Amino acid sequence: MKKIFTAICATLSAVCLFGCTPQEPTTTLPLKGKQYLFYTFGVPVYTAIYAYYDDEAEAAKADETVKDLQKLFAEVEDSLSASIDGSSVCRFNEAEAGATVEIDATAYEVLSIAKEMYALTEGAYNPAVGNSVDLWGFTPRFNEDDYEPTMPYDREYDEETKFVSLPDETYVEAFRTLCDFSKVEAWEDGGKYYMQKPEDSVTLEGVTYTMRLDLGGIGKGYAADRGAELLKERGYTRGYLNVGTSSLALMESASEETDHAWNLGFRHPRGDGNYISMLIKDECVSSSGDYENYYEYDGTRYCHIIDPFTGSPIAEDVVTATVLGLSAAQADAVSTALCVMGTERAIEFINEQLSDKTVVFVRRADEGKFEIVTNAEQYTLIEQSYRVASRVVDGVLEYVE
Amino acid sequence: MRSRLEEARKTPLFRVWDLVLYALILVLVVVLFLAVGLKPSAGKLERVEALRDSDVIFSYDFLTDTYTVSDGVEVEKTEQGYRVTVRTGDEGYNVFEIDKGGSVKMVEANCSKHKECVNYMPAITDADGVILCAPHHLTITGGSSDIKDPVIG
Repeated sequence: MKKIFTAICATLSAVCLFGCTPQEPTTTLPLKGKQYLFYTFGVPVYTAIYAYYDDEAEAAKADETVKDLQKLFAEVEDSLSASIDGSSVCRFNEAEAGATVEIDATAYEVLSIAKEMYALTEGAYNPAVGNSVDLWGFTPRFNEDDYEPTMPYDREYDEETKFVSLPDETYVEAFRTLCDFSKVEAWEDGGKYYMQKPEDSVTLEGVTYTMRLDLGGIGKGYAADRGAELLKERGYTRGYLNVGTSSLALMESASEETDHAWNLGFRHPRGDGNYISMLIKDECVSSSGDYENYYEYDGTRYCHIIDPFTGSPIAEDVVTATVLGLSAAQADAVSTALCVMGTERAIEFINEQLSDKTVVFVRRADEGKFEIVTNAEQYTLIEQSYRVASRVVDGVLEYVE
Repeated sequence: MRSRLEEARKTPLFRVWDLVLYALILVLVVVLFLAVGLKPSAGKLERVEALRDSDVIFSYDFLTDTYTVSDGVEVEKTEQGYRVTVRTGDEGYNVFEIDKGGSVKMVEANCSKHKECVNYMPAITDADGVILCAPHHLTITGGSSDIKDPVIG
């Protein structure tokens, strides 16, 4: 009896010592995860890599890979940024109407994707809204600490409301006419790449304006795609690349419980935290929304997403859209387009062009309430006040009143 | 045989020293459980790092009250801890304050008009905390590089 009792106590001691340690799943895996952070396009880039960090050579390889990612992203930014002097986009924007501009291979590739998405979305995605983006106060110069008005159309700035008035309608309409992206030509000749600027121009208050491109809606996605290729080339299969939380290239996670899927959170467009989550792996995801950069004037929200058909920021209908299953660059463009389209056209477009992809968007309904429209089959609803206002019947997404 | 049986019946189940031994073992079990099961959270703030992109340019250890700095970083002692100034380029700067009681907060910067890192990011109080200043490529972190589930949007 005493021996049995002693044996029981000894066993309990051993169980408590070795079995009651807090759960740390990563310590049981052969691979270890590490998260890195650097900046590009004015946003943070989170790189998560699983590697054999206990091995010195493997740890060095992972750190070196992240440095190479940083260089890659810097090259993409140097090509596409509209605010870096000498970039392909900057030189196009500064060129006169009708001019031919030599561009680099990256700009040519992104432009090709942009033209494809412009055609697919029938103009709802349109990168030729650069003048309008600046008119409405959403280019980087407005966020500089020493910002001063420099353009004839710049409005008086107020710390509380941001701007004390809306843009002059004359400029809104004039810049809308400079948005015909179909007129932009790009070609390759003898290993070099060129773009031709449309002849369109307008002159207001003695200043002549021509088309200006803004590739912010596709550049981060493109960088995510290139970065994901690099990670795969280096042999990494677990981790992710998250560019400013608007474009994401997911590989596998380390969790066996979720069959190596990540529990991807979808950021709440009007509050803290997430509104839904999904288990996703080996996919690219991009998102656009009216909460990333906006101001309010007279009770109306004005955001950085410009409706190319009106020359003004989108109305508060589709407030955020997320697309999975395309490349990150394509999804970047399409998610922007869905915000421009509005609910009815967005649902039509999803059924026509994206029925085999996963799309989620949030719309503003009556009385200030918000609804989720999605063709996703599995997700976890986190924001309980959001009604799921859709269903899929025979593969067709329908809005449910 | 009968005397041995009678002797066994008279012998108590537990002697005093047996009880003492078993009590000690039980106490050991309880102490081990409390020590291991109630171990302080892995997220406690024990160090803070400042990184420019992925390069560490400053680190402070709360436990030893020591720090390391790189060029472009100035450290000033304060009543609560330290005031750290990070210079970016010719004119850019960020200032964050370390409270030795266990927090870090960005208090000044000339990164942008809205100074998101100063006005919108809460103080770091655990290892998972982070303050980002995108215009200056600066990250202040509580030291954790654990991978978290990603967020889109």
